[in-house]
Amino acid sequence: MTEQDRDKRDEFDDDPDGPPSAEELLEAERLRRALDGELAHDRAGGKPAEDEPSPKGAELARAIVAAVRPEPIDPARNERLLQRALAKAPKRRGANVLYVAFGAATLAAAAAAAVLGVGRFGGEDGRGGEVPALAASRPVDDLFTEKFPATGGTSARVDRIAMAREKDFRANEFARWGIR
Amino acid sequence: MKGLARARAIDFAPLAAVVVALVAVACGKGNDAGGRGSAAGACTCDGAGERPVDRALVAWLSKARSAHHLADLAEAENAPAKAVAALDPLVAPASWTGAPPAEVDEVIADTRARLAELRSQAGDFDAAERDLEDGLARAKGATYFRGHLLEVRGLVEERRAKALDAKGDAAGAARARDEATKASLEAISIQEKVIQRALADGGTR
Repeated sequence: MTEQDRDKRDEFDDDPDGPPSAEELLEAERLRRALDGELAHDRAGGKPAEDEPSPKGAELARAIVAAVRPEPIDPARNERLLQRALAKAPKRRGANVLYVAFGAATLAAAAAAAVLGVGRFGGEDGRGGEVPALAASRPVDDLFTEKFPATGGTSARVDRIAMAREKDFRANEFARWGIR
Repeated sequence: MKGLARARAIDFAPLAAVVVALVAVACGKGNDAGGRGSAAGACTCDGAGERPVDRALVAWLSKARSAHHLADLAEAENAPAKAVAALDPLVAPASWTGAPPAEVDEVIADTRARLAELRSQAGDFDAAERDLEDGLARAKGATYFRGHLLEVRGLVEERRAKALDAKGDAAGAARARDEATKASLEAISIQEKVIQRALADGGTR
């Protein structure tokens, strides 16, 4: 066994229940200060508080606390992060120009359609096919081929009118649905 | 944040343009449909002022049909006041909002004729005459409806004359008989026009 091996075994055999060494006390103090945000980086702004680096244990402890009880992000820091992210985003000027041109062309086409009456009722539909004519509301003379009796018969006449227009309405609905 | 907002605004620019365009097209169509009053909004009817037979018209006619059958039941029970109560809502101003289609005007005119007859049976001749006035205002052309209204006016005035005679009002009864004669002759004239028109159409009416 060499001298170096003997030193390592002495370190390993150090009594864990023994009084803390000066070095251990120093490390404990550094951990406390790190947890209190006094070392390396403060918890809000990320600015160095002191030059001395934060112990690794402190970083882990802060991460656990943040995961369990997250604090709201500082608005100023949020703004800085956004600015940094937007600055890295690719420039979209070309796409914007395309969008604006597309929108303007659509507007112009729509205005022309409105003025010229494209899609006018009674004309052709957008697919180029003829829109079927719908049964129009109209006087009901054609439903009666005989003179009305002097008294009575009103219900029968209203029945006939209602049934005729129900038939027209069904035909209109079918026409609108494209069923002929 | 401002940069992000600007980027979003630019993203929505084409969408906004399309929405505005659709509104413009809709306005163009709305102008075409102006005055037709169609709830369906897809009328291909020819001629200004026309509207397609739509759900509102069919629903109203169905309501009118039910009202007249309720009046039938009331008359079968010999309850003319109940029959009048069944028909009155049909001729109220709120029955149809806006300019009524031809069918609504004609059914109201026919309903007015029935109401006039019911009211005159109960001796309420003035109310019957008001029904006939409204009916005649709705059935202006030479149609069976106008002819029927004039025919009923003749019957109403005939009843009035009898009632006045019974009261000893000979002068009033004579005036009522004159009115009855005038209305009946006018009814005949209207019906002749309707018949001539029907024959001119090849007897299809």
